Amino acid sequence: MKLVGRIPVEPLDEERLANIERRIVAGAAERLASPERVPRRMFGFAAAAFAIAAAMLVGWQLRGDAPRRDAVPAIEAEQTFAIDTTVERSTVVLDGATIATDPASALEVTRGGGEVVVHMTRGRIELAVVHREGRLVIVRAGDTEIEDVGTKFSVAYDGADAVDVGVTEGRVKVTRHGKSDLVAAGFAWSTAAGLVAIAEVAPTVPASAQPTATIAAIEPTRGLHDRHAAVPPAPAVAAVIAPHAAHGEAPAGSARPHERAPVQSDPYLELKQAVRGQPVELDPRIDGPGDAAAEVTKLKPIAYAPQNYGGEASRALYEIAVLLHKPLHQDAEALRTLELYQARFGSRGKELAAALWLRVRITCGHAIDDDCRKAAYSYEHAVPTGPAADVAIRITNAQ
Amino acid sequence: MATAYVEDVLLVDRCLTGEPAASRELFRKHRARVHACLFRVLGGNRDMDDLLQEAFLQVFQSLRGWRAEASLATWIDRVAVRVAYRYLTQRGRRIQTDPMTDEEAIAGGEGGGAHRQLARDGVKRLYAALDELSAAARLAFTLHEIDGRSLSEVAELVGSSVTATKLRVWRARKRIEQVAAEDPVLSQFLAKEAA
Repeated sequence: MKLVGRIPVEPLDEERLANIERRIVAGAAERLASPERVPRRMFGFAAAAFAIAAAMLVGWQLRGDAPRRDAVPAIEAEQTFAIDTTVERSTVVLDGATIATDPASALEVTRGGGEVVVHMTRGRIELAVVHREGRLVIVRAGDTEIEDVGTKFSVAYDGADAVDVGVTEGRVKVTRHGKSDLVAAGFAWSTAAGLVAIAEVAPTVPASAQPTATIAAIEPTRGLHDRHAAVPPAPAVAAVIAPHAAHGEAPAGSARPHERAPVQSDPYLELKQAVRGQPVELDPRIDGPGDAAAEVTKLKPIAYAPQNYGGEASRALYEIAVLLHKPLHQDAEALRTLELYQARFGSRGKELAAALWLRVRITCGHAIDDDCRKAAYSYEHAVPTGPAADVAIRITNAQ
Repeated sequence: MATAYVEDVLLVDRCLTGEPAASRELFRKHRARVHACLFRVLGGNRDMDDLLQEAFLQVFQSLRGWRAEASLATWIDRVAVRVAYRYLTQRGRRIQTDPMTDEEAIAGGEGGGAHRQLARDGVKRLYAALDELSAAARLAFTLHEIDGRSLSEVAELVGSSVTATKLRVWRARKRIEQVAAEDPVLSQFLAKEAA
Protein backbone atom coordinates (compact mmCIF):
# COMPACT_ATOMS: atom_id res chain seq x y z
CA MET A 1 0.00 0.00 0.00
CA LYS A 2 1.83 3.05 -1.24
CA LEU A 3 -0.09 6.27 -0.79
CA VAL A 4 2.69 8.79 -0.31
CA GLY A 5 2.28 11.68 -2.73
CA ARG A 6 -1.00 10.35 -4.08
CA ILE A 7 -3.30 12.51 -1.99
CA PRO A 8 -2.50 16.12 -2.73
CA VAL A 9 -3.14 18.85 -0.21
CA GLU A 10 -5.80 21.34 -1.18
CA PRO A 11 -4.30 24.75 -0.41
CA LEU A 12 -6.16 27.21 1.74
CA ASP A 13 -7.01 30.41 -0.04
CA GLU A 14 -5.16 33.58 0.84
CA GLU A 15 -8.09 35.17 2.61
CA ARG A 16 -8.49 32.23 4.97
CA LEU A 17 -4.76 32.17 5.64
CA ALA A 18 -4.72 35.90 6.30
CA ASN A 19 -7.58 35.53 8.76
CA ILE A 20 -5.86 32.65 10.54
CA GLU A 21 -2.62 34.58 10.70
CA ARG A 22 -4.34 37.65 12.11
CA ARG A 23 -6.01 35.63 14.85
CA ILE A 24 -2.82 33.77 15.67
CA VAL A 25 -0.66 36.89 15.90
CA ALA A 26 -3.31 38.56 18.05
CA GLY A 27 -3.56 35.51 20.30
CA ALA A 28 0.15 34.77 20.43
CA ALA A 29 1.05 37.64 22.76
CA GLU A 30 -1.73 36.64 25.12
CA ARG A 31 -0.72 32.98 25.07
CA LEU A 32 2.94 33.81 25.53
CA ALA A 33 2.09 35.93 28.53
CA SER A 34 -0.05 33.29 30.22
CA PRO A 35 1.23 30.06 31.73
CA GLU A 36 0.25 26.83 30.05
CA ARG A 37 -3.10 25.53 31.19
CA VAL A 38 -3.23 22.37 33.20
CA PRO A 39 -6.03 20.03 32.12
CA ARG A 40 -8.92 20.21 34.56
CA ARG A 41 -9.10 16.45 34.97
CA MET A 42 -5.64 16.46 36.45
CA PHE A 43 -6.99 18.30 39.48
CA GLY A 44 -9.59 15.58 39.91
CA PHE A 45 -6.98 12.88 39.85
CA ALA A 46 -4.85 14.78 42.29
CA ALA A 47 -7.72 15.18 44.71
CA ALA A 48 -8.73 11.55 44.49
CA ALA A 49 -5.33 9.91 44.59
CA PHE A 50 -3.02 9.26 47.47
CA ALA A 51 -0.56 11.99 48.26
CA ILE A 52 2.37 10.21 46.71
CA ALA A 53 0.42 9.32 43.61
CA ALA A 54 -0.71 12.91 43.32
CA ALA A 55 2.83 14.15 43.70
CA MET A 56 4.00 11.79 40.99
CA LEU A 57 1.18 12.88 38.74
CA VAL A 58 1.89 16.55 39.21
CA GLY A 59 5.58 15.88 38.76
CA TRP A 60 4.85 14.14 35.50
CA GLN A 61 2.58 16.93 34.43
CA LEU A 62 5.14 19.55 35.17
CA ARG A 63 8.02 17.88 33.44
CA GLY A 64 9.07 18.76 29.91
CA ASP A 65 6.72 21.40 28.64
CA ALA A 66 5.94 23.01 31.97
CA PRO A 67 6.30 26.74 31.65
CA ARG A 68 8.28 29.05 33.86
CA ARG A 69 6.25 31.71 35.54
CA ASP A 70 8.27 34.62 34.33
CA ALA A 71 5.55 35.75 31.99
CA VAL A 72 6.51 38.45 29.55
CA PRO A 73 3.95 41.23 29.18
CA ALA A 74 2.64 41.92 25.72
CA ILE A 75 4.33 44.85 24.11
CA GLU A 76 2.81 47.78 22.34
CA ALA A 77 2.86 48.08 18.58
CA GLU A 78 5.32 50.96 18.78
CA GLN A 79 8.06 51.21 21.35
CA THR A 80 10.75 53.67 22.15
CA PHE A 81 13.54 53.05 24.56
CA ALA A 82 16.82 54.64 25.38
CA ILE A 83 20.26 53.10 25.81
CA ASP A 84 22.93 55.06 27.63
CA THR A 85 26.02 53.05 28.39
CA THR A 86 28.99 54.11 30.46
CA VAL A 87 31.46 51.30 30.61
CA GLU A 88 29.32 48.36 29.60
CA ARG A 89 28.69 47.25 26.08
CA SER A 90 25.16 46.19 25.26
CA THR A 91 23.39 44.25 22.56
CA VAL A 92 19.78 44.67 21.52
CA VAL A 93 17.94 42.46 19.05
CA LEU A 94 14.92 44.06 17.40
CA ASP A 95 13.00 42.75 14.40
CA GLY A 96 16.04 40.82 13.26
CA ALA A 97 18.40 43.78 13.65
CA THR A 98 21.18 43.26 16.17
CA ILE A 99 22.48 46.55 17.59
CA ALA A 100 25.69 46.35 19.59
CA THR A 101 26.83 49.50 21.36
CA ASP A 102 30.29 50.49 22.45
CA PRO A 103 30.86 51.84 25.95
CA ALA A 104 29.93 55.49 26.38
CA SER A 105 27.25 55.38 23.72
CA ALA A 106 23.84 56.99 23.97
CA LEU A 107 20.99 56.28 21.64
CA GLU A 108 17.26 55.94 21.42
CA VAL A 109 15.57 53.18 19.49
CA THR A 110 12.04 53.50 18.16
CA ARG A 111 10.28 50.74 16.34
CA GLY A 112 6.90 50.49 14.76
CA GLY A 113 5.26 50.96 11.41
CA GLY A 114 7.74 48.60 9.79
CA GLU A 115 10.73 50.69 10.82
CA VAL A 116 13.45 50.54 13.41
CA VAL A 117 14.86 54.04 13.91
CA VAL A 118 18.02 54.55 15.94
CA HIS A 119 18.71 58.12 17.09
CA MET A 120 22.34 58.38 18.17
CA THR A 121 23.41 61.05 20.61
CA ARG A 122 27.02 59.93 20.81
CA GLY A 123 29.25 56.85 20.71
CA ARG A 124 29.56 53.98 18.34
CA ILE A 125 27.27 51.13 17.36
CA GLU A 126 27.46 48.11 15.14
CA LEU A 127 24.44 46.72 13.39
CA ALA A 128 23.77 43.36 11.78
CA VAL A 129 20.51 43.56 9.91
CA VAL A 130 18.70 40.63 8.35
CA HIS A 131 16.89 41.69 5.22
CA ARG A 132 13.14 41.56 5.65
CA GLU A 133 10.58 42.68 3.13
CA GLY A 134 8.98 45.97 4.12
CA ARG A 135 11.21 46.56 7.16
CA LEU A 136 13.62 49.47 7.24
CA VAL A 137 16.40 50.23 9.68
CA ILE A 138 17.47 53.86 9.87
CA VAL A 139 20.25 55.35 11.97
CA ARG A 140 20.20 59.11 12.59
CA ALA A 141 23.38 60.72 13.86
CA GLY A 142 23.10 64.49 13.98
CA ASP A 143 22.14 65.63 10.51
CA THR A 144 23.28 62.40 8.91
CA GLU A 145 20.88 59.57 8.13
CA ILE A 146 22.01 56.03 7.35
CA GLU A 147 19.42 53.79 5.78
CA ASP A 148 19.96 50.07 5.70
CA VAL A 149 18.39 47.15 3.87
CA GLY A 150 20.03 43.96 5.09
CA THR A 151 23.69 44.33 5.93
CA LYS A 152 26.34 44.70 8.62
CA PHE A 153 27.75 48.11 9.34
CA SER A 154 28.95 50.40 12.08
CA VAL A 155 28.29 54.03 12.92
CA ALA A 156 30.47 56.23 15.12
CA TYR A 157 29.26 59.66 16.18
CA ASP A 158 31.15 62.15 18.32
CA GLY A 159 27.98 63.88 19.43
CA ALA A 160 28.77 67.04 17.49
CA ASP A 161 29.47 66.77 13.80
CA ALA A 162 31.74 63.87 12.89
CA VAL A 163 30.03 60.69 11.72
CA ASP A 164 31.89 57.62 10.47
CA VAL A 165 30.15 54.73 8.73
CA GLY A 166 31.87 51.44 7.88
CA VAL A 167 30.14 48.70 5.88
CA THR A 168 31.27 45.09 5.99
CA GLU A 169 28.36 43.39 4.24
CA GLY A 170 25.65 44.59 1.89
CA ARG A 171 25.26 48.33 1.46
CA VAL A 172 23.70 51.34 3.12
CA LYS A 173 22.50 54.71 1.93
CA VAL A 174 23.97 57.69 3.75
CA THR A 175 22.14 61.00 3.43
CA ARG A 176 23.45 64.32 4.71
CA HIS A 177 22.32 67.79 3.80
CA GLY A 178 20.12 66.37 1.06
CA LYS A 179 23.00 64.53 -0.61
CA SER A 180 23.01 60.73 -0.65
CA ASP A 181 25.84 58.24 -1.06
CA LEU A 182 25.54 54.49 -1.42
CA VAL A 183 28.22 52.83 0.70
CA ALA A 184 28.95 49.22 -0.26
CA ALA A 185 30.78 46.48 1.64
CA GLY A 186 34.46 47.27 2.08
CA PHE A 187 33.86 51.02 1.97
CA ALA A 188 33.53 53.65 4.63
CA TRP A 189 31.94 57.05 4.71
CA SER A 190 32.73 59.97 6.96
CA THR A 191 31.66 63.56 7.26
CA ALA A 192 35.29 64.55 6.80
CA ALA A 193 36.35 62.38 3.88
CA GLY A 194 33.14 61.26 2.23
CA LEU A 195 33.22 57.85 0.56
CA VAL A 196 36.49 55.91 0.80
CA ALA A 197 37.58 52.27 0.73
CA ILE A 198 38.20 50.86 4.19
CA ALA A 199 41.49 49.44 2.96
CA GLU A 200 42.62 52.96 2.03
CA VAL A 201 42.12 54.38 5.47
CA ALA A 202 42.91 51.37 7.63
CA PRO A 203 45.29 49.00 5.87
CA THR A 204 46.38 47.47 9.16
CA VAL A 205 44.89 48.22 12.51
CA PRO A 206 47.29 47.97 15.42
CA ALA A 207 46.11 45.36 17.87
CA SER A 208 46.32 47.66 20.83
CA ALA A 209 44.87 50.72 19.13
CA GLN A 210 42.16 52.40 21.16
CA PRO A 211 38.94 53.25 19.37
CA THR A 212 38.69 56.85 18.26
CA ALA A 213 36.15 58.76 16.30
CA THR A 214 37.99 58.40 13.01
CA ILE A 215 37.40 56.00 10.18
CA ALA A 216 40.53 54.09 11.09
CA ALA A 217 38.91 53.21 14.36
CA ILE A 218 36.29 50.96 12.80
CA GLU A 219 36.92 48.04 15.09
CA PRO A 220 35.21 44.71 15.49
CA THR A 221 32.46 44.22 17.98
CA ARG A 222 33.67 42.12 20.84
CA GLY A 223 32.70 38.69 19.84
CA LEU A 224 29.65 39.56 17.83
CA HIS A 225 31.03 39.46 14.34
CA ASP A 226 34.37 39.28 12.69
CA ARG A 227 35.41 42.33 10.79
CA HIS A 228 36.48 40.62 7.60
CA ALA A 229 37.43 43.82 5.83
CA ALA A 230 39.89 44.79 8.54
CA VAL A 231 41.62 41.44 8.87
CA PRO A 232 44.94 41.48 7.03
CA PRO A 233 44.84 39.25 3.96
CA ALA A 234 46.10 35.71 4.25
CA PRO A 235 49.69 35.25 3.20
CA ALA A 236 50.52 33.26 0.09
CA VAL A 237 51.61 29.79 1.13
CA ALA A 238 54.64 29.84 -1.14
CA ALA A 239 55.99 32.90 0.64
CA VAL A 240 55.71 31.36 4.08
CA ILE A 241 58.84 29.60 5.19
CA ALA A 242 59.80 31.07 8.53
CA PRO A 243 57.14 33.55 9.51
CA HIS A 244 58.62 35.07 12.62
CA ALA A 245 62.19 34.98 11.42
CA ALA A 246 61.05 37.15 8.56
CA HIS A 247 59.92 39.77 11.03
CA GLY A 248 63.14 39.50 12.94
CA GLU A 249 61.35 39.33 16.24
CA ALA A 250 60.29 36.79 18.75
CA PRO A 251 56.70 37.14 19.86
CA ALA A 252 56.62 38.74 23.26
CA GLY A 253 54.88 36.91 26.02
CA SER A 254 54.05 33.84 24.00
CA ALA A 255 53.71 30.60 25.88
CA ARG A 256 56.39 28.95 23.79
CA PRO A 257 59.19 31.13 22.52
CA HIS A 258 60.91 30.30 19.28
CA GLU A 259 63.31 27.46 19.68
CA ARG A 260 63.52 26.23 16.15
CA ALA A 261 62.46 27.26 12.71
CA PRO A 262 59.19 25.76 11.52
CA VAL A 263 59.56 22.89 9.13
CA GLN A 264 58.77 23.73 5.55
CA SER A 265 55.91 21.24 5.34
CA ASP A 266 53.98 23.13 7.97
CA PRO A 267 55.24 26.66 8.38
CA TYR A 268 52.76 27.29 11.13
CA LEU A 269 53.64 24.32 13.29
CA GLU A 270 55.13 26.41 16.04
CA LEU A 271 52.16 28.74 15.95
CA LYS A 272 49.76 25.82 16.28
CA GLN A 273 51.76 24.56 19.23
CA ALA A 274 51.54 27.98 20.82
CA VAL A 275 47.76 27.91 20.35
CA ARG A 276 47.50 24.49 21.95
CA GLY A 277 49.79 25.63 24.74
CA GLN A 278 47.21 28.09 25.99
CA PRO A 279 44.81 26.63 28.54
CA VAL A 280 41.09 26.33 27.89
CA GLU A 281 39.49 28.50 30.51
CA LEU A 282 36.62 27.28 32.67
CA ASP A 283 37.23 23.74 31.49
CA PRO A 284 34.79 21.38 33.21
CA ARG A 285 37.60 18.79 33.04
CA ILE A 286 35.67 15.73 31.97
CA ASP A 287 37.84 13.35 29.99
CA GLY A 288 35.76 10.33 29.02
CA PRO A 289 33.50 10.74 25.97
CA GLY A 290 30.65 8.95 27.74
CA ASP A 291 30.83 11.22 30.77
CA ALA A 292 31.16 14.26 28.52
CA ALA A 293 28.09 13.27 26.50
CA ALA A 294 26.12 12.76 29.70
CA GLU A 295 27.25 16.15 30.96
CA VAL A 296 26.23 17.80 27.68
CA THR A 297 22.79 16.22 28.01
CA LYS A 298 22.56 17.59 31.53
CA LEU A 299 23.67 21.07 30.50
CA LYS A 300 21.42 21.41 27.46
CA PRO A 301 18.15 22.23 29.25
CA ILE A 302 19.95 24.97 31.17
CA ALA A 303 21.80 26.37 28.19
CA TYR A 304 19.09 26.21 25.56
CA ALA A 305 16.10 27.29 27.62
CA PRO A 306 14.66 30.10 25.50
CA GLN A 307 15.16 33.58 26.87
CA ASN A 308 17.36 32.37 29.65
CA TYR A 309 20.13 34.93 29.52
CA GLY A 310 21.43 34.36 33.02
CA GLY A 311 24.97 33.54 33.97
CA GLU A 312 24.07 29.91 34.55
CA ALA A 313 22.82 29.56 30.97
CA SER A 314 25.85 31.26 29.42
CA ARG A 315 28.22 29.14 31.48
CA ALA A 316 26.35 25.97 30.51
CA LEU A 317 26.46 26.85 26.82
CA TYR A 318 30.16 27.58 26.97
CA GLU A 319 30.86 24.32 28.80
CA ILE A 320 28.93 22.42 26.16
CA ALA A 321 31.23 23.93 23.54
CA VAL A 322 34.30 22.91 25.53
CA LEU A 323 33.04 19.35 25.97
CA LEU A 324 32.14 19.06 22.31
CA HIS A 325 35.63 20.18 21.39
CA LYS A 326 37.79 18.23 23.75
CA PRO A 327 36.53 14.84 24.81
CA LEU A 328 33.92 14.50 22.05
CA HIS A 329 35.95 15.90 19.12
CA GLN A 330 32.87 17.43 17.49
CA ASP A 331 34.49 20.66 16.42
CA ALA A 332 31.86 21.70 13.91
CA GLU A 333 29.21 21.34 16.59
CA ALA A 334 31.42 23.16 19.06
CA LEU A 335 31.82 26.09 16.66
CA ARG A 336 28.10 26.18 16.11
CA THR A 337 27.59 26.27 19.86
CA LEU A 338 30.06 29.14 20.18
CA GLU A 339 28.23 30.96 17.42
CA LEU A 340 25.01 30.54 19.37
CA TYR A 341 26.78 31.72 22.53
CA GLN A 342 27.85 34.92 20.82
CA ALA A 343 24.45 35.47 19.24
CA ARG A 344 22.59 34.99 22.51
CA PHE A 345 24.85 36.46 25.13
CA GLY A 346 27.26 38.67 23.20
CA SER A 347 29.25 40.93 25.45
CA ARG A 348 27.01 40.10 28.42
CA GLY A 349 28.41 36.59 28.63
CA LYS A 350 30.99 36.33 31.36
CA GLU A 351 32.71 33.60 29.40
CA LEU A 352 32.98 35.67 26.23
CA ALA A 353 36.78 35.95 26.30
CA ALA A 354 37.10 32.23 26.97
CA ALA A 355 34.60 31.49 24.20
CA LEU A 356 36.52 33.64 21.74
CA TRP A 357 39.73 31.87 22.63
CA LEU A 358 38.09 28.48 22.27
CA ARG A 359 37.10 29.50 18.76
CA VAL A 360 40.71 30.41 18.03
CA ARG A 361 41.86 27.10 19.44
CA ILE A 362 39.41 25.10 17.34
CA THR A 363 39.81 26.95 14.04
CA CYS A 364 43.58 27.40 14.28
CA GLY A 365 44.01 23.82 15.44
CA HIS A 366 43.01 22.70 11.95
CA ALA A 367 44.85 25.28 9.89
CA ILE A 368 46.19 28.79 10.11
CA ASP A 369 43.80 30.04 7.47
CA ASP A 370 41.41 32.92 7.04
CA ASP A 371 38.89 31.56 9.53
CA CYS A 372 41.67 31.15 12.07
CA ARG A 373 42.94 34.66 11.46
CA LYS A 374 39.46 36.13 11.78
CA ALA A 375 38.94 34.30 15.05
CA ALA A 376 42.32 35.49 16.32
CA TYR A 377 41.59 39.01 15.22
CA SER A 378 38.30 39.05 17.13
CA TYR A 379 40.03 37.68 20.20
CA GLU A 380 42.88 40.16 20.24
CA HIS A 381 40.46 43.04 20.09
CA ALA A 382 38.33 41.64 22.88
CA VAL A 383 41.34 40.76 25.04
CA PRO A 384 44.20 43.03 23.98
CA THR A 385 46.77 41.81 26.52
CA GLY A 386 47.94 38.52 27.97
CA PRO A 387 49.66 35.42 26.72
CA ALA A 388 46.74 34.26 24.62
CA ALA A 389 46.41 37.72 23.09
CA ASP A 390 50.07 37.58 22.14
CA VAL A 391 49.47 34.33 20.32
CA ALA A 392 46.43 35.83 18.61
CA ILE A 393 48.46 38.83 17.51
CA ARG A 394 51.12 36.55 16.11
CA ILE A 395 48.48 34.68 14.14
CA THR A 396 47.04 37.81 12.58
CA ASN A 397 50.52 39.16 11.85
CA ALA A 398 51.85 35.89 10.46
CA GLN A 399 53.17 36.29 6.93
CA MET B 1 27.05 32.19 9.15
CA ALA B 2 23.95 31.57 11.21
CA THR B 3 22.59 28.06 10.91
CA ALA B 4 18.91 27.25 10.74
CA TYR B 5 19.22 25.98 14.28
CA VAL B 6 20.60 29.26 15.56
CA GLU B 7 17.93 31.12 13.61
CA ASP B 8 15.26 28.98 15.27
CA VAL B 9 16.60 29.75 18.73
CA LEU B 10 16.79 33.47 18.00
CA LEU B 11 13.32 33.47 16.42
CA VAL B 12 11.88 31.80 19.51
CA ASP B 13 13.65 34.35 21.70
CA ARG B 14 12.07 37.13 19.68
CA CYS B 15 8.66 35.50 19.93
CA LEU B 16 9.04 35.28 23.68
CA THR B 17 9.60 39.01 23.90
CA GLY B 18 6.11 39.37 22.44
CA GLU B 19 7.26 40.71 19.11
CA PRO B 20 4.30 40.36 16.69
CA ALA B 21 6.57 40.28 13.64
CA ALA B 22 8.36 37.26 15.09
CA SER B 23 5.06 35.43 15.73
CA ARG B 24 4.05 36.14 12.16
CA GLU B 25 7.40 34.93 10.87
CA LEU B 26 7.16 31.71 12.83
CA PHE B 27 3.64 31.06 11.55
CA ARG B 28 4.55 31.73 7.94
CA LYS B 29 7.64 29.58 8.15
CA HIS B 30 5.78 26.51 9.40
CA ARG B 31 2.16 26.89 8.28
CA ALA B 32 2.44 25.01 4.98
CA ARG B 33 4.02 21.95 6.56
CA VAL B 34 1.59 21.87 9.47
CA HIS B 35 -1.38 22.35 7.16
CA ALA B 36 -0.21 19.52 4.90
CA CYS B 37 0.24 17.23 7.87
CA LEU B 38 -3.22 17.98 9.29
CA PHE B 39 -4.81 17.68 5.87
CA ARG B 40 -3.36 14.24 5.29
CA VAL B 41 -4.46 13.06 8.71
CA LEU B 42 -7.99 14.40 8.40
CA GLY B 43 -8.53 14.08 4.66
CA GLY B 44 -9.89 17.55 4.06
CA ASN B 45 -9.97 21.19 5.01
CA ARG B 46 -13.10 20.94 7.14
CA ASP B 47 -12.39 22.77 10.43
CA MET B 48 -8.86 23.40 9.20
CA ASP B 49 -8.96 27.09 10.16
CA ASP B 50 -9.75 26.22 13.75
CA LEU B 51 -7.22 23.41 13.86
CA LEU B 52 -4.39 25.49 12.43
CA GLN B 53 -5.23 28.29 14.79
CA GLU B 54 -5.40 25.97 17.79
CA ALA B 55 -2.14 24.28 16.84
CA PHE B 56 -0.19 27.52 16.54
CA LEU B 57 -1.74 29.08 19.62
CA GLN B 58 -0.66 26.01 21.56
CA VAL B 59 2.77 26.37 20.05
CA PHE B 60 2.98 29.91 21.38
CA GLN B 61 1.56 28.90 24.73
CA SER B 62 4.18 26.19 25.13
CA LEU B 63 7.04 28.04 23.44
CA ARG B 64 8.69 28.75 26.76
CA GLY B 65 9.03 25.01 27.22
CA TRP B 66 10.88 24.38 23.97
CA ARG B 67 14.31 23.19 25.04
CA ALA B 68 15.88 23.25 21.60
CA GLU B 69 16.68 19.57 21.92
CA ALA B 70 14.43 18.68 19.00
CA SER B 71 14.29 20.95 15.97
CA LEU B 72 11.62 23.62 16.13
CA ALA B 73 9.84 22.06 13.14
CA THR B 74 9.64 18.64 14.80
CA TRP B 75 8.44 20.18 18.02
CA ILE B 76 5.71 22.16 16.21
CA ASP B 77 4.65 19.03 14.33
CA ARG B 78 4.33 17.23 17.63
CA VAL B 79 2.02 19.95 18.93
CA ALA B 80 -0.02 19.82 15.70
CA VAL B 81 -0.35 16.04 15.92
CA ARG B 82 -1.61 16.36 19.50
CA VAL B 83 -4.20 18.87 18.30
CA ALA B 84 -5.27 16.48 15.55
CA TYR B 85 -5.48 13.63 18.04
CA ARG B 86 -7.72 15.64 20.36
CA TYR B 87 -9.88 16.66 17.43
CA LEU B 88 -10.30 13.06 16.33
CA THR B 89 -11.15 11.82 19.81
CA GLN B 90 -13.50 14.69 20.68
CA ARG B 91 -15.44 14.41 17.45
CA GLY B 92 -15.73 10.68 17.85
CA ARG B 93 -14.36 8.19 15.44
CA ARG B 94 -16.60 9.23 12.62
CA ILE B 95 -15.12 12.25 11.00
CA GLN B 96 -16.97 13.60 8.03
CA THR B 97 -14.37 13.77 5.37
CA ASP B 98 -14.59 16.72 3.02
CA PRO B 99 -15.54 15.77 -0.47
CA MET B 100 -12.71 16.93 -2.70
CA THR B 101 -14.33 19.43 -4.96
CA ASP B 102 -11.34 20.27 -7.07
CA GLU B 103 -11.10 17.49 -9.57
CA GLU B 104 -7.68 18.52 -10.69
CA ALA B 105 -6.48 18.28 -7.13
CA ILE B 106 -6.64 14.52 -7.30
CA ALA B 107 -3.46 12.94 -8.51
CA GLY B 108 -4.00 11.15 -11.75
CA GLY B 109 -6.34 13.93 -12.84
CA GLU B 110 -4.45 14.21 -16.08
CA GLY B 111 -6.17 11.04 -17.22
CA GLY B 112 -9.73 10.72 -18.42
CA GLY B 113 -12.87 11.60 -16.49
CA ALA B 114 -13.28 8.01 -15.33
CA HIS B 115 -9.83 8.02 -13.77
CA ARG B 116 -10.47 11.27 -12.00
CA GLN B 117 -13.75 9.97 -10.68
CA LEU B 118 -12.07 6.78 -9.48
CA ALA B 119 -9.35 8.73 -7.71
CA ARG B 120 -11.87 11.02 -6.06
CA ASP B 121 -14.09 8.17 -4.95
CA GLY B 122 -11.08 6.16 -3.86
CA VAL B 123 -9.81 8.90 -1.58
CA LYS B 124 -13.27 9.43 -0.12
CA ARG B 125 -13.66 5.75 0.62
CA LEU B 126 -10.18 5.49 2.02
CA TYR B 127 -10.88 8.24 4.54
CA ALA B 128 -14.30 6.75 5.24
CA ALA B 129 -12.49 3.55 6.16
CA LEU B 130 -10.03 5.51 8.26
CA ASP B 131 -12.97 7.04 10.13
CA GLU B 132 -13.59 3.58 11.54
CA LEU B 133 -10.15 3.39 13.12
CA SER B 134 -9.09 4.62 16.51
CA ALA B 135 -7.53 8.08 16.61
CA ALA B 136 -4.12 6.63 17.44
CA ALA B 137 -4.27 4.09 14.60
CA ARG B 138 -5.48 6.69 12.15
CA LEU B 139 -2.67 9.04 13.11
CA ALA B 140 -0.03 6.35 12.83
CA PHE B 141 -1.35 5.14 9.47
CA THR B 142 -1.81 8.55 7.85
CA LEU B 143 1.49 9.96 9.08
CA HIS B 144 3.38 6.91 7.88
CA GLU B 145 1.53 5.78 4.77
CA ILE B 146 0.21 9.09 3.43
CA ASP B 147 2.47 11.79 4.90
CA GLY B 148 5.50 9.60 4.23
CA ARG B 149 7.18 9.84 7.62
CA SER B 150 9.34 7.07 8.97
CA LEU B 151 8.03 4.85 11.76
CA SER B 152 10.51 6.27 14.24
CA GLU B 153 9.49 9.80 13.34
CA VAL B 154 5.81 8.92 13.72
CA ALA B 155 6.55 7.29 17.06
CA GLU B 156 8.27 10.45 18.23
CA LEU B 157 5.42 12.64 17.03
CA VAL B 158 2.68 10.63 18.71
CA GLY B 159 4.75 9.96 21.82
CA SER B 160 4.73 6.22 21.45
CA SER B 161 7.22 3.42 20.92
CA VAL B 162 8.28 2.33 17.45
CA THR B 163 6.91 -1.14 18.09
CA ALA B 164 3.50 0.15 19.11
CA THR B 165 3.47 2.48 16.11
CA LYS B 166 4.37 -0.33 13.76
CA LEU B 167 1.58 -2.44 15.21
CA ARG B 168 -0.95 0.37 14.77
CA VAL B 169 0.07 0.89 11.16
CA TRP B 170 -0.14 -2.83 10.49
CA ARG B 171 -3.59 -3.12 12.04
CA ALA B 172 -4.83 -0.07 10.15
CA ARG B 173 -3.48 -1.50 6.92
CA LYS B 174 -5.23 -4.81 7.57
CA ARG B 175 -8.46 -3.00 8.29
CA ILE B 176 -8.22 -0.98 5.08
CA GLU B 177 -7.54 -4.15 3.13
CA GLN B 178 -10.60 -5.79 4.69
CA VAL B 179 -12.78 -2.86 3.68
CA ALA B 180 -11.21 -2.85 0.23
CA ALA B 181 -12.03 -6.54 -0.19
CA GLU B 182 -15.70 -5.63 -0.03
CA ASP B 183 -15.42 -2.32 -1.86
CA PRO B 184 -14.38 -2.60 -5.50
CA VAL B 185 -13.84 1.15 -5.84
CA LEU B 186 -11.44 1.32 -2.92
CA SER B 187 -9.85 -1.93 -4.01
CA GLN B 188 -9.30 -0.55 -7.51
CA PHE B 189 -7.94 2.68 -6.08
CA LEU B 190 -5.48 0.87 -3.84
CA ALA B 191 -4.55 -1.53 -6.62
CA LYS B 192 -3.75 1.46 -8.78
CA GLU B 193 -1.55 2.77 -5.97
CA ALA B 194 0.23 -0.56 -5.76
CA ALA B 195 0.71 -0.63 -9.50
